[in-house]
Amino acid sequence: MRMSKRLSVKTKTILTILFVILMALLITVADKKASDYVVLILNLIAINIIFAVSLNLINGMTGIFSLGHAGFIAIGAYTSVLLTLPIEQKEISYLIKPLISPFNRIELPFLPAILIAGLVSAGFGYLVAAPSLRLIGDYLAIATLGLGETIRVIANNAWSITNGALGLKGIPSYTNLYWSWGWALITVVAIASLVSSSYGRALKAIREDPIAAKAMGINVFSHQVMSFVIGSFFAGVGGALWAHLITTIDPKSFAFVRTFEILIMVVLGGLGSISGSIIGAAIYTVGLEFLRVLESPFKIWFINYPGVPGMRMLVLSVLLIVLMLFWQRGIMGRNELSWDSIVSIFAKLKRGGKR
Amino acid sequence: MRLSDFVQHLINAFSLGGIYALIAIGYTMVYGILRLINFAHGDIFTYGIYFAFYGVTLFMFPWWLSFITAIFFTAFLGALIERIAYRPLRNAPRISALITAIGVSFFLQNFATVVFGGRAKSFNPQTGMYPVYFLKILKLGDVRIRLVTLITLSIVAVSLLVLVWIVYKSKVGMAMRAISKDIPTTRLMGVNADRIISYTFMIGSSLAAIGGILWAMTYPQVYPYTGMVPGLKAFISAVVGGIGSIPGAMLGGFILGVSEIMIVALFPSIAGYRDAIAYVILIFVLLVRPTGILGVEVSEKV
Amino acid sequence: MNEVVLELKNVTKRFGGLTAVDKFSGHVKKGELVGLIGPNGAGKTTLFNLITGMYELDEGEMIFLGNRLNGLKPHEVTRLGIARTFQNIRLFSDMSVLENVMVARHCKLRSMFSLFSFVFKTPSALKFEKSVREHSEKLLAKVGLLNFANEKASALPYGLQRKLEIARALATEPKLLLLDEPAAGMNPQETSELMEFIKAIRDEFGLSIIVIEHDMKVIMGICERIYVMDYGKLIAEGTPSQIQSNPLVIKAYLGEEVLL
Repeated sequence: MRMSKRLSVKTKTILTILFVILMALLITVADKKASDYVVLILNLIAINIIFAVSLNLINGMTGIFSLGHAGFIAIGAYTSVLLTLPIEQKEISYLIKPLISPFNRIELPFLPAILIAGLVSAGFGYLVAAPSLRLIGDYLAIATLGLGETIRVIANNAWSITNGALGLKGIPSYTNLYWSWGWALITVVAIASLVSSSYGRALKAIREDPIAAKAMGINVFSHQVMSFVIGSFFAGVGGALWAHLITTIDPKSFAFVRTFEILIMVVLGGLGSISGSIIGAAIYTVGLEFLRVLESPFKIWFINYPGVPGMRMLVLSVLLIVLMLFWQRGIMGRNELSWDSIVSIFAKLKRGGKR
Repeated sequence: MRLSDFVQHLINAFSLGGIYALIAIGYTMVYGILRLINFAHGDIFTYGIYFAFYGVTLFMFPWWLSFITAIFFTAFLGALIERIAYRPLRNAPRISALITAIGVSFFLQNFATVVFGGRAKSFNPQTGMYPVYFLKILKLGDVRIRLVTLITLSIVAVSLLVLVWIVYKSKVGMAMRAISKDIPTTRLMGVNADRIISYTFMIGSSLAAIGGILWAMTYPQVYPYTGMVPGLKAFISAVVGGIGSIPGAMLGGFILGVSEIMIVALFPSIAGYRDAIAYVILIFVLLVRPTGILGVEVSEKV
Repeated sequence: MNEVVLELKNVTKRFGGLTAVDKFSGHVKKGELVGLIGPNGAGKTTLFNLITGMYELDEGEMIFLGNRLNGLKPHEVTRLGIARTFQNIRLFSDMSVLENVMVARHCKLRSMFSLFSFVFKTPSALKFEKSVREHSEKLLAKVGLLNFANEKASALPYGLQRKLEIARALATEPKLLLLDEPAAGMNPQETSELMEFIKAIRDEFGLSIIVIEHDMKVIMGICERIYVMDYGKLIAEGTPSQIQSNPLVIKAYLGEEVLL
């Protein structure tokens, strides 16, 4: 009879702390030694983790099919930039219409700007949630899609707030590995903590069967709103980090394709799994860079491949279709990576070798 | 605004609304049968235009022949997509089918970018797309409209009539309506559900192609993302009218087309927010009557 | 001792032209086991749905322990102390047996803002989690399902799934329990066990119970009083022997096999 070993809570805590220390060391080394390109990729991975885990909370764990994540990312990005952009830069950039007050006089440091960005996104999430969550399934998807697009259209036209289609540049490049991975850690810990609590069970119950959940005393609506607001908060935070990484933003950066990309990350990792979203975000970010190779010319054997722009996204969309046709569960399915599961994987491998 | 201006705007509005209606029908028919939002439908609209374009420029067809073959090819494309991407997921959770549809949409857009090129192509009489006299401006009193607008209205009317005949008078149409109620039972009645579903996609795609060609004659450019915004608006039309209802799709299309043009005509200062009008209507309808104007209430048994 | 816990007065529900429940009046006393029977489509489950707030009633009054139930949302009704099971088992199939019961304790949290304490794992949050687990494990032990605690709910055999659904309802600490066809699909052995089970939980937890059933063995075996519905109306009320000999009841069931 096979005995399954479960690690004690003490062991797991020690392992987790060691892991975090290891990650911190790696990040410090990378920050000092790695090339700009690698640092950029690592930053993107962290930010995508924030996007994916926050979307997973809404879509995967609570079962709310929201397609408007890009809108909340946009709100976070613009809010943070409006707060941190140096006043002189604001005066140069806002050509069509001057920036409204008090933003034109404010210049805040990064941390308060990120927090405010997250809170503003969360606030919008709250406003939006109440009407939208009365809808189910497909209607909700459409409504949130329309919402995300509305935000983009507004951003494109509100010259005195967002500088319209011109966008904003000269954003101070505050985001470094410590900021991005620090917030990624906060996001994962916060959401994992929520999910492992009674609230997490309630969200899963709502996902499984909202009617039974109601009958068990769960206020389905307020829990859905809560999930939506928290997801939006972190989307806003991620947006702020992203804006201060790439230093220019315009409404086009927040088109539906952004939500789509995050959706791929979540589905790839497994809809409903936090560790899955992390893995999915990492694989997607790195994979996208690898696919970049398809857009410049190269030679296989005697075949000259000319390098085609747009080939990346083409391959990506094929991958997504194939993923959905043959592997809906994604890498982790709904399960989480835990120390127990890692240990049992190693145990299986060891046993497999002995046969 | 002068009366003649108003009438002009109204005619243009109905023309636009008609195109939205044609596309919306495709969305609503597929949703009615498969409960699937075919995100790729807007891109099928785009491909209809591309097929017409290449018919003339590549194969040197006369314009009318190119239009007809484009409609056929687009219908075929729609059926192909259903066969490859949607049929395998017919019993899968709806979220998977939805994500796949999004994937197909992105595939079509990027395929067009790679194969047809990302730059916009001109769809105008100079390149032989259609006779020059289509653009002729007709005058009825003080009202000035292009011939192409009238042609659009006529083609829309004819297409809708043909569609109504197919859906309500033909055997295929009866099968489609039966399937939209209950697939397993309809199968038991001896109907080849797969074949009928293919026909549904073909009809919807044909209408999208017709809409696309009419669109391209009014907005003479085609590029990989041409169909995205009209597609979304047509989809909103279907939802507003009642998703799953063909008359609803027609009604929704006209409501959206008329709102879009008339609101901007009456309040020119918000022209930049033109696209947002559709979203506002959508949100309003979803708040007040989520199943749409002509939609059917579906409730879950407790 | 035997005061009324639930009072229904002229409860009416219409769906368009159909009157699903037509001026139904009745009551349940503390600790009573009441049966609700009638042909299919008589409106029994609709009545449960009205009581639990799933449907809004058109006319009438529902009072539970001095609280007016009209217009309350389902989770509010549950918090007042009414729990139910469903005709088609609605377990959270992807969650474990233990989790199904634990989630029913979630309603014991008073405010949504406590979510912050859960994210930060404060001592009060941890205390709550511990109590939830203990309570749920004790409950599972009482109903004999503790061995299956970590199994997926969908992996249980049918009879145990029904038991789990009842256990989950019990976790909300109800004063009134509504069971919707708990014996459906069970063999005679399982049915006898279920009957003992229902009586036992009534005694153990001091519950009042209303049971909808088609299996007359169950109804006649455990119910102290029975209400009979047909076409939404109450057509008879009384003890088992009174109901068995009531001509109206027999007429309503004419053509159906009545298992005695």
